Amino acid sequence: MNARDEEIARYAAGVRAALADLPETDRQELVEDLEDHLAEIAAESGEPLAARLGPPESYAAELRAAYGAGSAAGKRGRRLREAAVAAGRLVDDNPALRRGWAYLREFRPAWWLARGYLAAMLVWRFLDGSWTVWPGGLERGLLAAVLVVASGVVGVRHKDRPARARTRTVLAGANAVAVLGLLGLYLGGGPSSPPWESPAAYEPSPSMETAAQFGGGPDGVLNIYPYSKDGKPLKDVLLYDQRGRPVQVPFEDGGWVLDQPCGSPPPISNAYPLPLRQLTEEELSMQDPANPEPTCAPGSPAPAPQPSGAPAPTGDPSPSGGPSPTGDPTPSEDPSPSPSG
Amino acid sequence: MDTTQLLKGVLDLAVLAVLDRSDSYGYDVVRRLREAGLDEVGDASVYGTLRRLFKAGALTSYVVPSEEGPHRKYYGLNDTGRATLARSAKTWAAFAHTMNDLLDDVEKGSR
Repeated sequence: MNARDEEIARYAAGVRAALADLPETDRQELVEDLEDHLAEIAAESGEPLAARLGPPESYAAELRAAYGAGSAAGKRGRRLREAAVAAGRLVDDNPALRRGWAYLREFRPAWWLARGYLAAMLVWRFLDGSWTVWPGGLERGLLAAVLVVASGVVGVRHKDRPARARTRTVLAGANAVAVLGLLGLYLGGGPSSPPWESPAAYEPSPSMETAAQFGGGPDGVLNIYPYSKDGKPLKDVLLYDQRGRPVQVPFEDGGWVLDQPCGSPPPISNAYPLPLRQLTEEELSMQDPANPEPTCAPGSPAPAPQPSGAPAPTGDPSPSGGPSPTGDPTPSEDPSPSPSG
Repeated sequence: MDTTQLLKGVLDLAVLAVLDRSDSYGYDVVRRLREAGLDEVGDASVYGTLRRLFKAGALTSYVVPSEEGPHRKYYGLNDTGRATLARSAKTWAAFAHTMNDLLDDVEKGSR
């Protein structure tokens, strides 16, 4: 075998590998005399095959497109593949899409890692019967690490080299499982723990430090500031949980009380943002912290807070509250999201 | 205009036309198409098209052994292929006529 034959054999092998996902009959039919054909081309000039025909992968892609590949794989498979080919062509033909796709491909390593982690989450899901984002245990953390690394290794290995047909199917399946896992997460849990059965209070999770939480003590959620999507602060937004119970925040944890100007009805306990004010030093010292006494004149009959069925405000009405703007506790960090646009 | 885009639509017709003149093998079909002026025709496109037309039943094929160099798989039109060619040629003629009319106006306007 001379060098030219070797080159032909190598090129043909590259083309065959790139067509590995075709049904065997199609593939054989398509490339049965590929070597002979390549030999004719090679005999024409001394130029390397790859210089004349492009890389084996693109030769294979052209071959596949011209052949209308995938006809023996059943209708659904064929439609899928045709759609994929059409999408590929659409991307190829449109410079903006092509750039976008190339840009997205830059993020593949991130996807490989996320894929591994999602696989770990899927395992935890089957161990616990519910979705958890955090390992919660050394073994689980190790499992996540192993899966993330494995996924990354697989990604790197097949980055430039197309996998064999079977491997490719397995990879596609794994990717699909990961995506479904993501969807499952997004939809708020697996079938064994539908969201409407979970407890009303959010479980504080020690590893989640960035999100505000209920029941987190002075650093937890003590008030809620709803904003419309264009960044306007909303007032008197009534919040309920999944069972229709008014959502209440433990604002007492931060030393706040509901601010009620004397003579006005007590504020609705789940109308956010709550009119809160910080207890003064005197009030703090005067009060039994477990049971803050009412600080407003008890003369005003307290109407039942809306909505009916809503529990009474946990903080009792207090007197001597200034007009609400002055007493309005605005957190030192600006809670307003910057309006988009 | 990008000729390769145009070629995609009419490559079947071009290959059938070449084979209608005489039976031929893959490499030779590419060469004859290029000689006819279709410089940008892709080797793999022609090769794949031949295989598809054969699979669709429009071509016959036979292997011609050669003493020096590789065996050659020759393709030729059968009745289905000839019927397809006649039909496609008619479609093409009508299409080309329409396009020529359109472009005729464009040329007169630019003069």
